[in-house]
Amino acid sequence: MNHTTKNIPTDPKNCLTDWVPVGLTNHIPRGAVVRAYIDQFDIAIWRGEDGFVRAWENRCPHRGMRLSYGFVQGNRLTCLYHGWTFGGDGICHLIPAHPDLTPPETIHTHIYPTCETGGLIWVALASMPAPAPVIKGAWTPCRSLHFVQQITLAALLADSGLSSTPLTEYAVCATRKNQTQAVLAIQPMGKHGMMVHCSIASCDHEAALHDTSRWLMTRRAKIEDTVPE
Amino acid sequence: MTRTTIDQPEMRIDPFTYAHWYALGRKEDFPEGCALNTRLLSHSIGIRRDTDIMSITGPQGRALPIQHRYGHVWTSLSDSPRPLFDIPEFAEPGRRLVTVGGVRVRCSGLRAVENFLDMAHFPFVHTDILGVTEHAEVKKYDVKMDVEKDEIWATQCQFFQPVAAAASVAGDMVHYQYRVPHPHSVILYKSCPVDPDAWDLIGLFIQPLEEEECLVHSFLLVFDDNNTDTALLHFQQNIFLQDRVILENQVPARLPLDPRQETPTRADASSIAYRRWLKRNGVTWSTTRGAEIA
Repeated sequence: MNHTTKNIPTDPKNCLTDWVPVGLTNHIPRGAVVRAYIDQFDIAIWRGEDGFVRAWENRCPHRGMRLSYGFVQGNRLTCLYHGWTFGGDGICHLIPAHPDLTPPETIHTHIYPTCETGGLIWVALASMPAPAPVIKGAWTPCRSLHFVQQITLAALLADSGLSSTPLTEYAVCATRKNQTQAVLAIQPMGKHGMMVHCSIASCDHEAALHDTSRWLMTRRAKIEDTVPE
Repeated sequence: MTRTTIDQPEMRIDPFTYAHWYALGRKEDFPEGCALNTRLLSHSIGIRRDTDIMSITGPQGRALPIQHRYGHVWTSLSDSPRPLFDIPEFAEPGRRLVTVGGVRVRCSGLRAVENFLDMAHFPFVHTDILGVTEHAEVKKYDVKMDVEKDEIWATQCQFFQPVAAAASVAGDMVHYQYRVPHPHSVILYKSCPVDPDAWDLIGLFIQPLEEEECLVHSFLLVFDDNNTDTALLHFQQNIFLQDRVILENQVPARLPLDPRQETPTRADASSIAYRRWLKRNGVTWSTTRGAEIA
């Protein structure tokens, strides 16, 4: 590999103040829960029927079960292990083993702020994060790709001939030679490598989605020295 | 998989954990002429069987004690192990013993014991077999210490089950007792579907391989003339594989002994007693206390 490797913050304090992209908005439909990493932090991300995305520490406060194995009903998430059910605010509303008990409000999950902009879902690990990013315009989710190693945005775009402007520490707006505009965002996942999420300026052309997706795969192949799929 | 051989075991393993006997498998798992290696408490040990004579060697080629009980082969790293607990029901006539064989699980063996003690997960993990979500309540039960034998008993346990055992035909309130006579072994006494006055036994003899990996040997000792061994085996395997999904996804993988780390309720009374008992006996191995000390 000929690119300079990464300088992504792995110190949680560094990472904590920033909003990190964790997926495309259409990656998590209503009623779905998925698991995501930000650095070494294991996170359950889910979307209620109300359309809001929530991000929680991936651990039930009761017996430590990963909440990403749970299931969404309405605007609540239920843990797979004992059915403890948490509202969107993270507070436990139901302990099925004690159906007549109103659980004390002290029983809750650890919640992280979320936002959606630029066709992406973002999570901040800090309890007092910087203001949420706002990426103006209409964006269509295009593709998420896994990279085995963490690299910087600069390394991702090096020698690609694209012009780019930074949006956040983890995202740029890039303009390709064919004038397609794309948001390229990286999600550092520690030893699990990284995800690159890409959305494009909304347009009528289905072809632009396929073309941009192929471009991103070619970039990865070049960077990882492998044959494209 | 990271495997570290520790040459000074006594430095890492608390005396209570170190002093016990551990099951390594069934005699038939070690056929004549075999010479194989396994792990026990992060130590490599060798098992040989020439004709009918078995021998087990531990660190530095030291010969380890061996005994055959409860359908399994047992050993200990200790030269003077605590006596293996008694299960008098093994001597009762009319019971059938079915041994399941080892299932490897990437978690603390202590987490596996605790999961076995837990009734509240039946409706969610063993849905429509050991529980249904409409009857998820765990009624109050008793937990007591048998001080003389230094073991935990949970009694007066009852739970609604649609298919409590392979021999069940309809849902019913099932009565349970749990017994923890050993940090890595647990026995369930379950009301017998074919004889209301008898208890069926189901138990786990856990072989702790590493602090976050174990081999779970289990058995059924039941009154059941209708089901084949294979049917009983499949029932037990099905249940345990459902539990494995949970066990491999609990964070942290080691059992927390600090009561502030997790949030129990009254239904967890047996789990609370188990954690306290481990703590009182100075257990650190395979717990988060061990991780802190290391």
